[in-house]
Amino acid sequence: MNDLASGFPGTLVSEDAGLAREFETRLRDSGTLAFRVAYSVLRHREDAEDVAQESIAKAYRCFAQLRDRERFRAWLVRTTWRMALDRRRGDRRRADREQVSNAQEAVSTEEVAAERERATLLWTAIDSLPEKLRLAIVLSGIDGHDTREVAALLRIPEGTVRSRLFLARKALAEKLQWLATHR
Amino acid sequence: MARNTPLDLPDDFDELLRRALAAEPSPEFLPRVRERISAEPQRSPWRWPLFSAASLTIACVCVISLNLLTRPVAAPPVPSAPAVRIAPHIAPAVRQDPRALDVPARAPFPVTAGLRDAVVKPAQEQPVVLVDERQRLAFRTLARMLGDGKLTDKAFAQTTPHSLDAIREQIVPVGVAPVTVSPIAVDGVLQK
Repeated sequence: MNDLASGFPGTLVSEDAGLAREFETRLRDSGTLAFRVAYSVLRHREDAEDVAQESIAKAYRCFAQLRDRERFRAWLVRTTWRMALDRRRGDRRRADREQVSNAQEAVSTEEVAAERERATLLWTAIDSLPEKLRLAIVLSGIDGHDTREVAALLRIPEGTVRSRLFLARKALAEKLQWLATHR
Repeated sequence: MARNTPLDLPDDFDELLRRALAAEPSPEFLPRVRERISAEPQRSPWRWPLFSAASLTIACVCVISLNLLTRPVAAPPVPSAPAVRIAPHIAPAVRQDPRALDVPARAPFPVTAGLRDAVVKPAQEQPVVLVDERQRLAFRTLARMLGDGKLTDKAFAQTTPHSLDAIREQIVPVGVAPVTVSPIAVDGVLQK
């Protein structure tokens, strides 16, 4: 943190040091969130880190207006999501997206294959959702956010979040059923 | 988020989604972000004051321009004319018509007191003649020059095609004969 604080340029030392401390807090609090939002779109670690880094740097440039925690996180989620979508549209490497496999535990080859197959189906279904429904279902899956937290991140009413989650789950169920029968 | 819905989602859908999104960034992620932020361009302490001053200047220019553009065009001054006053009426002398001598005198028209006063009242003031302001100034200048002896007859004669004597002849008071009004006979007047 001190490294970051000393890295803040400018002659207004006390003000910049205070901003640096606050930003460091936000960075540790929301850095992983930004990465996961980007990863949910790109599913490529390096790309997701690049996008998250860009969005955090952007947040730093206007941090004076984003000092409130909830405001900062909401702004960061929205910005990262848009930047990730832009990156994905122009990225040819999306064909090489990682398949989700956080299974560090020892599993058999068949289990890994089955897990990957299900993850592929899941992401195919999620990618087919409209953007609003997709963002709501993804944020609800990140860190176990509940409806209130998703509403705060999207800055929309909780009722709207519940409605979007319901529609997203319904669409996902139909899509997964269709994919299961047509593969 | 794990909950049973009436939909046909797999029972472990939420768990699968959570695990799919539980990716962790590399350990170098946060240090790289800090390094990136440190490389951000220096924020000048003069930036906001300069921005404020520039905004204020632009706002002032806009207000002044708007004021100049929307200012109403001043109407030309209304030419001032001297107050119009009614010259008092000079009642003409009434001469008795010899034909009406045998007619008994009739009472005059009933006139209101105000009108009668205005008509009968003798003139106390000279009639006012409406003269243009420039003409008035010219006359005053002429009178002053004549009074001061700056304008001699010779000099005046050189400025006009007529001699001053001719003008003096023209401004001799004109006498107007009084108008005679005959009263109308009782049996009327035969129009020829």
